[in-house]
Amino acid sequence: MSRLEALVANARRRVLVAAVLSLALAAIDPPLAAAQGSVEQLGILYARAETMIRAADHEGAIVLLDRMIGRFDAPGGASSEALRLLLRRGLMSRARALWEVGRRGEVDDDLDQVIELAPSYEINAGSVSADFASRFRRRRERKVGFLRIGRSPADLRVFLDGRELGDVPDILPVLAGDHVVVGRRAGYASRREEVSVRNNRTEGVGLSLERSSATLRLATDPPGAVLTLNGEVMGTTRPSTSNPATTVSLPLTVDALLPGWYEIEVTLAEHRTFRQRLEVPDLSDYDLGVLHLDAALGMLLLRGLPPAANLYVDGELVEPKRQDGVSDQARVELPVGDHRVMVSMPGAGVFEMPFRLEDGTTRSLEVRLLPGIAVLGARGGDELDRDEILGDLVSELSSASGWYQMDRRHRIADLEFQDDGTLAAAVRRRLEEEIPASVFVTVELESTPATEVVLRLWAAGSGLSHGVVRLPRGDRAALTAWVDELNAPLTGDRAWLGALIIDGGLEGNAIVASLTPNGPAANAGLSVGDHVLTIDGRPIAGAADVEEVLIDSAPFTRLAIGYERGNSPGLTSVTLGSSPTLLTDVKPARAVALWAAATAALEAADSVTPRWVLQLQLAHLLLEQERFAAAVDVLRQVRAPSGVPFGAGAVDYWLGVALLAGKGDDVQTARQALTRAAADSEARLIHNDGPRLAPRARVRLAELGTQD
Amino acid sequence: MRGQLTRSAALALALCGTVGQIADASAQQTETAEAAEAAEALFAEAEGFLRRGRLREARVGYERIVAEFGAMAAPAASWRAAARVRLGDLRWRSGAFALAGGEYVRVLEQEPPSAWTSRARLGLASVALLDRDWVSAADMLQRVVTATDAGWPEGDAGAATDARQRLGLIQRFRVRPRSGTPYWTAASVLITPGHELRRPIALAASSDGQLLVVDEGIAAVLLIHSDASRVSRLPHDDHRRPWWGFDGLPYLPTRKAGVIALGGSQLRFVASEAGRRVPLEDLQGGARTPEGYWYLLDSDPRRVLRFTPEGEFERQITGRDEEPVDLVVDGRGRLLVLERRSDRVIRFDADGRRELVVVEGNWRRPEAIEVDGLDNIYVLDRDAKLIDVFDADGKPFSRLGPDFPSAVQMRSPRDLAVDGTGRVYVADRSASIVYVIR
Repeated sequence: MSRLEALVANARRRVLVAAVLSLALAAIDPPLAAAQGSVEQLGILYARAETMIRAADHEGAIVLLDRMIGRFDAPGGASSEALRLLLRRGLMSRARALWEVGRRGEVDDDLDQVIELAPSYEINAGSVSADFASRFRRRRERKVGFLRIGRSPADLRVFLDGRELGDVPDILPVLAGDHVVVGRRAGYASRREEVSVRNNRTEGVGLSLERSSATLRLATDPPGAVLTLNGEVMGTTRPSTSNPATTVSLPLTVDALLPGWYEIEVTLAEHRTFRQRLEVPDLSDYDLGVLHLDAALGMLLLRGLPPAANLYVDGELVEPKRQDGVSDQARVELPVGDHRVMVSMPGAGVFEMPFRLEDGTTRSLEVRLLPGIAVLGARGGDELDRDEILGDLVSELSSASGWYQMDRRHRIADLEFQDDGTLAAAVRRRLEEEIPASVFVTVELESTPATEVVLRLWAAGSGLSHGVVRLPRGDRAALTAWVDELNAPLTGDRAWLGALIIDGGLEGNAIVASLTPNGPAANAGLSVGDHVLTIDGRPIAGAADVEEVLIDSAPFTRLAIGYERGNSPGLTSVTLGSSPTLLTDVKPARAVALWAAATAALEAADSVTPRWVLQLQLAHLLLEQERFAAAVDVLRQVRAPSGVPFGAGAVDYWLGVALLAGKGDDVQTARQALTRAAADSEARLIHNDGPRLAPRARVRLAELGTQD
Repeated sequence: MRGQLTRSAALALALCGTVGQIADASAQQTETAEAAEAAEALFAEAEGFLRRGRLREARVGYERIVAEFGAMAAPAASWRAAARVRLGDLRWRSGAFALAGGEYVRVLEQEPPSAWTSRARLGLASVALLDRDWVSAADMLQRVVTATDAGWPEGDAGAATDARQRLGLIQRFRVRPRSGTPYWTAASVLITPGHELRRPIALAASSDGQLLVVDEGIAAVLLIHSDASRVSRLPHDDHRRPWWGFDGLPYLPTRKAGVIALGGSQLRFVASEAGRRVPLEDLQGGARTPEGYWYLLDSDPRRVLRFTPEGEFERQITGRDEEPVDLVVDGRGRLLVLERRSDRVIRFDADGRRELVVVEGNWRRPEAIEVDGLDNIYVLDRDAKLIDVFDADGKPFSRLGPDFPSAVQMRSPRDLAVDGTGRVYVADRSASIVYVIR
């Protein structure tokens, strides 16, 4: 039992009677009772007691002070300086109150306890009666002696009976008895002295320490830095406890250094490392002062960053510095270390890349927006099924090179589905704001165990119908095939011959019936009426054979065409042209993917597909789903080339069709567009060798005339 | 697009830009299966009306399919596409060519690929030919042929056969001139294995080259198949001029037995004169419009009479001072009457209203008239041993005879026929020959 605990126990025994009253008080003052042991609550008790004393209610004060002092029995209840001070004050106040009510015999116990708690305590004679002051001094003279401590060096730390003394006075009051005095200082050997002090006498003790090593002291701004000397970790600088506002650490002192050279390294994550070679010539104290550690920074350079894109670094929205208002290059200064950058543009796509930055370096990344496909999770079936199927799906989608797979499978948990298995428009919009994906997928298992997996897809911001894909459960090949289709080319360049070959059957089949002016076949010298006999040596039996060769040939392939003109054979070399191609008759699931891919490609700087083809593709998807007004909006923006078979004519045609089908009031524009389309006998749908659109445009115009 | 189209995608794109889907089933599979059954039943009913010539009821049935199954996915869509094609055909028959074209275009642009796609292309090609846009027509026709030859989903053998014939016509009349080749390059004698012709006096050709030859010498009608490998002989001593109908059947007018649909029924017609019912006898020829109206060439007096599809007499359409010797209905349902007295070809519209004199001839003895799939008009001058060829507007552009290519010479031509590719057949009574001019 420590001295303090003994004092507390003694005081408690003496107030057993008062404790009964305390319990009664606690019953009517529960907050106070519940706060037993806290400095604040004890301080309140003490303040109330002092008020009572000033009001001459000494008995009441004694009751309160008994309660207060009794509470020091909690484990470690008086372990702090603050508590010790409170206990001393409480004891002194109770002693005064007891004195006033004439309970003189109990006063000495309290005064003795006060002296034992604080041998150096001096009573303020002005605040108590002279008799009481005199009694305290007498009691003190019986219990206290004095120590004179000699110190060398002067800044050594002095410990009395294990407790460090702060400022050490020349004469230090201590309780009479045996004491241990220890002197310690970095760079010096510690010294321990035992001394016996008698009451009212002064004893001297000398603490002269011998130098044993050099010391090194430093602080860092900010704290937390690790100090190593010659590769050995010496410690970490700690933040100040007394001044939380400061960014400067407490000093860190390294002891036991011998003279010599030291490689000092101070490191802190994301800060530039401080390195210095230091000579310690002798056994002295060396103070490096405060080391200000600069943040270590690197530069992220993003190329091809669309102006309207959102940039996130480590999940935080970042405003990059662009080189100028329209530049697609942007810089972001970042602390060194591992980061993850994400660029997103609603509808256009996502780019995500982990990267590592080194101090003072620039990391350049080429932004390539890919449509994101977000897997929101699965419902129905059992958990094992869902986990397995989602795992397969996410894994398979990760291999789709044209897509960025966004695993959000947890997101399905709080979504409410409609009866048809889709999500309400408002829910979809919310998800689209939250997740920058272009396509969203939910998985539905209709039975347990699941025999079929139903994928429902929608394209963000498109308004297209949900696409539904049904896959046999466990058929990985079918899943792979679906992902392959998802990954299939958006559209494509197709070889272009520029000749109509027919199977008329008169002079045989594969007769050149018509040539596109300035088309590849015309430029190669083929003429109307020529009978195509061979292509690259392969016999041609009919127009289907020619078509097959074209399908197998890449754009710009050179083909040797053998033909007969009249009765004369001929041979010419045709360099096939290249034609963009429109995908039509697209089913909803493919339309969802196609929409996302085309939208992303529209924003991509490196898209090989002409902008007008992508726009036309989007418009056509809308047309196929009878979203005529939206299709018109897109078609009005398309600027397709004229003078080529597949170009402006196709846009005019579809614009006319969309305007008429939408039953809007812009019939005049529809008529003009269809008239332009009908007038271009070479204009084609789909691609340069595709179906001619003039007959269709004429029919549409004629129908319009019929309606008029 | 990065790289080339896949082969399967490109194969489909080649025709109509279709990319196949995998496992992309409709969410309403069950419902659509039921809808498909209902659509099929409606379609079967409408087809029944069509076969019986009740075109109005058929049209209502098809329109109902389009209206009721407009938003359905496959397989109901295939019935919808079928109904649309049929509607297009019916509108064509009634002369509403633009509306017909509209139905065909909607099949091409709004319906999934099927055999009906080829039928729609075929129909739209006809509309293009009306507009004299033979290149677009050839383009569409060739797509029908290619789809069938390549085995694509929209392939259709019947449509491909039709398309090939029209391509032949286009080659003959549009491509050959551009390459300096004559329309007809050779002539030969028709071989009729096992059957010797004696006095062929009349003939008719189907679009696919089947030939019906009336031979008074052997008192029979010979049905010669396209490749001349097979000949069927039908006893017949009632020697009149046959024709091949739009319904694919050959018709044989007779002196005593009305009109015989070969392989089918025998039809008798009764005219009405001053309130009297006059059974028609000694019919010289006839024709039937795509809508089913009958035109019959009576011999006593020489006149052309119009009957409803049900065989009810409507009216006489030629004048008393006219001497019609032959008649033919063109692809638009218009009647062309060869009138000998003033050497003219008179055209009547699809409703039998006199339209115009399309050809003013100067023949010695005009005997027979024929049209081809491009509505070119052929007139046989029996005495001059010539065949004059005019375009649909009556503009002359070619003449055949009396010597044909390959040094074959007509002696006593009595009738002519033209098949789907523009081959001309001439029955030469004295020479006991049917010439084939290719």
